Amino acid sequence: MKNRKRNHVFGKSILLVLMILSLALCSACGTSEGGGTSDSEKNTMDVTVSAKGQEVNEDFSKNVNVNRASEYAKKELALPVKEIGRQISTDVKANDDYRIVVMTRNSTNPYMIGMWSGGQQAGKDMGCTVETLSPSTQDSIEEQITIMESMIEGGVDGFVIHPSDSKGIQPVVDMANEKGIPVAAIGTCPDTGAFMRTGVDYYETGYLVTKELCEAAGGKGKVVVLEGPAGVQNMEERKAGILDAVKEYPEMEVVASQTANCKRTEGMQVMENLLQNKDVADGLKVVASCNDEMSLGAIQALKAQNIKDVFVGGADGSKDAAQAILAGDLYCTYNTDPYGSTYLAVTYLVQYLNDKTLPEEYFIPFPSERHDPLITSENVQDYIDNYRWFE
Amino acid sequence: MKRYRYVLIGMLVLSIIATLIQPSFLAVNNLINILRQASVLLLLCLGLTGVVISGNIDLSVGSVAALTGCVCAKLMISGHPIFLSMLLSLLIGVVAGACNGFLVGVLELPSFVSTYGMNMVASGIALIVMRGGIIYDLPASFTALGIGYLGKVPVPIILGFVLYLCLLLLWNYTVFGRNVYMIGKNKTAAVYSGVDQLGILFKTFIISGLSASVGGIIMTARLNAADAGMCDAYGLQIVAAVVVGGTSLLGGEGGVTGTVLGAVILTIITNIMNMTGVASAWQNLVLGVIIILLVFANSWSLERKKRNAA
Repeated sequence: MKNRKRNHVFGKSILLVLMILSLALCSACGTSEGGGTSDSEKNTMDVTVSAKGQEVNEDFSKNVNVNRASEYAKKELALPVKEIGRQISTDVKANDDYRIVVMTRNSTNPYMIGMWSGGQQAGKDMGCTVETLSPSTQDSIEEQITIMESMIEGGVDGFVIHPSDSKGIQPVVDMANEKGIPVAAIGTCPDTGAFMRTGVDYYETGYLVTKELCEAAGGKGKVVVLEGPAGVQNMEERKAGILDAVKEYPEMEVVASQTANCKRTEGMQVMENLLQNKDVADGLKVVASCNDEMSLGAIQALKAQNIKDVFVGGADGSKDAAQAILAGDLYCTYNTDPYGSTYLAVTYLVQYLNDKTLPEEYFIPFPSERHDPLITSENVQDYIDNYRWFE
Repeated sequence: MKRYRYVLIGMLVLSIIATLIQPSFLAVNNLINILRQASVLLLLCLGLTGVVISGNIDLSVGSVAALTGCVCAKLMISGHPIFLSMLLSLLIGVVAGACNGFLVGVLELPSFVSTYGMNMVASGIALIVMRGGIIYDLPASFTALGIGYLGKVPVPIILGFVLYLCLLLLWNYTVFGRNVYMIGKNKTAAVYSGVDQLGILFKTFIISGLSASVGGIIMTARLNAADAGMCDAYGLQIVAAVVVGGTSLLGGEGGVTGTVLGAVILTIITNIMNMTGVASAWQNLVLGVIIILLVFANSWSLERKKRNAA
């Protein structure tokens, strides 16, 4: 009897081991065919840019998200705000004390804090109430849903959201639409139903920064890409931009593309690990990172190994990144101005709540080409002095 | 050594696979690199091991470490001497540990939930202290703790090793250490034989808090920066390292040597995935499967040992 039981346990464990082996096999296959380290990763993103963009439907639930902003929205479309960063202002005034909620993914990333202060300033300038919220568990989509649900029940007039997940947030965006509450999205957007999208065109941020890095490297050498969390939409868009930019340089090659989850700690560790691989370290010229935090971690790793002449680029234009550009550690970054883009989103919401004015297009990128968003050693002082978004 | 054989086998298998795919895995530099990365994780979870042996859990380690790092950086930036800043911020670990001890020992709350609450409290204070900012560019003599070398050995490895030795002696060769195991194995028996349960709870939690604080300071020195969310990446990985190393969550089994192996093996997995270029989407899956496999092997061997003893 006892023996049979033991056999049973043994059988079960064999099964488990087999299961795990097959999983491991799958993953190995996935690695070899998916590449992971090369540009062979399938890029299914639609990266074409149209002259005119998609218009906003009066019924928001019919709006469908787009990845790229139109040429018109980037360059010509008249914005209801002047300047960018902490200089931003508007002539729009709220007709009533609207209650607008700015909900971010977390409360530790400087980008998210920038969104908060931009929203609050917009409320002050236009004369309405702006509340700022984030989940207490960082990046928790469940908590974001709970927050929005209770806000909808509690009676708000509009949302500016930066969701952790485009699919997960969908039901609660639909719920807001049923009650006629407009939801403006920044960064990651619901597939359908947003009132509008603003924030940067992520593909373009990755593309422009990487182009600048490759030019600095003289169009030759190896490239390491630091990705955001796997499957996060806006980070995938940025990665696609990075990979496409590298493709334009036949003598440049992506030798490793790994996630460091947008964290500085992980950026440092992943870079340390990659540098152990001679095929990566020898002739490394460019590190293109999907955000500033990871790039600053990577710089720490490069410094610790005494590796010089690597051009590192990030995205966001955070305080530390600006300091690092001044110090000559970071080569360039892209000003993603969360302060200004949240300000702009609130302005569009107020316009709509005043007299049902709709934004001219669905995706209005901010900052965009017209704002000179690429920050290098040449303009970093001007950026810090005049149009930065951080405090 | 018998106790750790599955972790060692796991480590061996992984290393062989890694070397086959990427020969530079075995390069001395990479091995040092792995140990250096593991030592931060190790500092965070060495103290926790004692808490787990006594049959409790401390989920506040990550936040206490982050809070310590933030306060330490803030003190230094505002002009306080480095040594004083470190000393004061280490107090955070002691206070947090004492609070945990009070909640679990005096108020008799379950440690799983009360330390989870403590975790929120610590990360909440860190958020308020930092106001969403990041402190950058710390004094060079401080960052040397994280990126410096003593001879050819990185400083964090030495610190990790020293703390490991201290705790190894404490758990294995003192009456206090034996009592911790006894409480973990059979609380009632321990209390009847006159073991000061309350005192032991306090001490284990304070040691855990203190080791979290040391980890937080070293992490800050390594990054040359502090932010409120800097230990989020570790999360439950800290607990996983302890359990993978053969310490049972039920208490009374395991030890710090296992925790060292656990921390190293978790670091190796990420290192291998980075070096061989496993696609980002697959990394969590691979890590999760290996953790489950190792814990399964541990509990299976424990079960067999018990059956043989019976």
